[in-house]
Amino acid sequence: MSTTPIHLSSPLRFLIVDDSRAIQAIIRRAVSRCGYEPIEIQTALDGEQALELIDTFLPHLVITDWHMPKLSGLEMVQALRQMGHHNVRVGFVTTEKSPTLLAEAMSNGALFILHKPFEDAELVDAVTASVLDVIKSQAQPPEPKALMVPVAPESLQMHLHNSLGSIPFRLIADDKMTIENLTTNNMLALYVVSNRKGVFAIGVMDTNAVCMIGGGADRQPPAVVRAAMAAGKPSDAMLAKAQDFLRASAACLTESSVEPSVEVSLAKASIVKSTFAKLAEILAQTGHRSDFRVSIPGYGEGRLGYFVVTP
Amino acid sequence: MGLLARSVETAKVAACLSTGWEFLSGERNSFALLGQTLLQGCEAEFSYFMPLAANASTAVGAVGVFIERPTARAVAANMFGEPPDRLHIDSLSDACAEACNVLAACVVLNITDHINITPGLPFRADALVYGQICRTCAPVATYKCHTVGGPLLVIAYEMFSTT
Repeated sequence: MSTTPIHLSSPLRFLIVDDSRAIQAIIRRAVSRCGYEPIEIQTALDGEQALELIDTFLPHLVITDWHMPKLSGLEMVQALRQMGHHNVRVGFVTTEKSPTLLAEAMSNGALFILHKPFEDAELVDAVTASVLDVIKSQAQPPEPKALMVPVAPESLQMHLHNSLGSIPFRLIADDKMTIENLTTNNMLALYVVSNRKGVFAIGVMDTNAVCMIGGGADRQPPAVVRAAMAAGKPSDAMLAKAQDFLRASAACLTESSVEPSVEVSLAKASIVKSTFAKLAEILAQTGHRSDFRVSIPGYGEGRLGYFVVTP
Repeated sequence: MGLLARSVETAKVAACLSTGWEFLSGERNSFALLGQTLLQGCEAEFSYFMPLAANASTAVGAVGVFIERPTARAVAANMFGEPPDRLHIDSLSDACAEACNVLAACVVLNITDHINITPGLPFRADALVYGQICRTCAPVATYKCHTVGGPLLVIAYEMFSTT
């Protein structure tokens, strides 16, 4: 079964036809595990209901039982073809094993006949094979994760916890960090990758974040940290610990990278003024960034962000 | 000996029932063939029957599936993917009807002698209907398994007229 969702340009529509809601639930679960996104599923309790739905729902695949009240699965497929729906894909999930009837189903265009009891994986395989042509025409290449969200909040949360120990904090995915809301002195981190020249990503911590995370990691009292924040001057110990945090958080960038062999590491971290043009340009980029606000009770709030450098 | 009695491959049925029950309930249980004992009063809270016809029209018998409430809850919970205490009685009935469908198919699929047996749709039998079935049919094979919710019986019946 697929673990990485296949993103489609429009929903893949499934119609499940079975007089048992319990079997509908089993099929629905299996279809959901096929790994397509988005999908739409509708259900019908018999062939008659299914025919009423097909004109408006336009399913890509109908998965139907055989023995049902009113109209059997086979009768439903035959009616479907007579109504002109020659291209609607149909598969059977049934206990029916009569060779004559199964041959009739195949001659009416059934793509698969799966017998109950079945394994989820068997149904997933049958469904996958049946909609392959739709998937090929609709699948969109996944947006590289590293470019969309270079740093996952959960991952950064873990690294912050490692630095701050028992000091309580809140990490909030925040509005974009801008040159206007940045403090005067900030720590800029340059990240590189092993197989590439140049800077891969940039990390920015404003003064408050440097004082709070650096001071917290150094277990300095809140009053000392608050004083450093007010003065806009983190101590050497705070700077060193903030650098350690930025170094450790390179792992977050590695985790989010779409290239499995890429390892991101910190090349340099130092205090810079917020006024140079390149920093303004980085902070103005619209995508490929993760912006956070960190709040520590008794200390205050600071901002940090990670920006993947686009070529 | 009747048509079904001599045509059902009992060992294969037992193995198929175990597989079918695992699909339905997620439990791995073995079914044992008890023999041709008429189990009067074996009707359970959820007694479902699958009528069987030969050559699409002549009624030849039925398969009965007898499920008590704890087992019905367990099987429905597995099929619907919901906790047992959140299931409505209709869901229990739905799951038991489908259990009858799948388990009866194990009997139908293991009938030899080139008889074309067609299953119908499962129906729930109350005491009256069950009494009628007992008066018109003889059990040809009884299978039992012990589920976490209690015993589960599957009985193949054959109409007296075919014996």
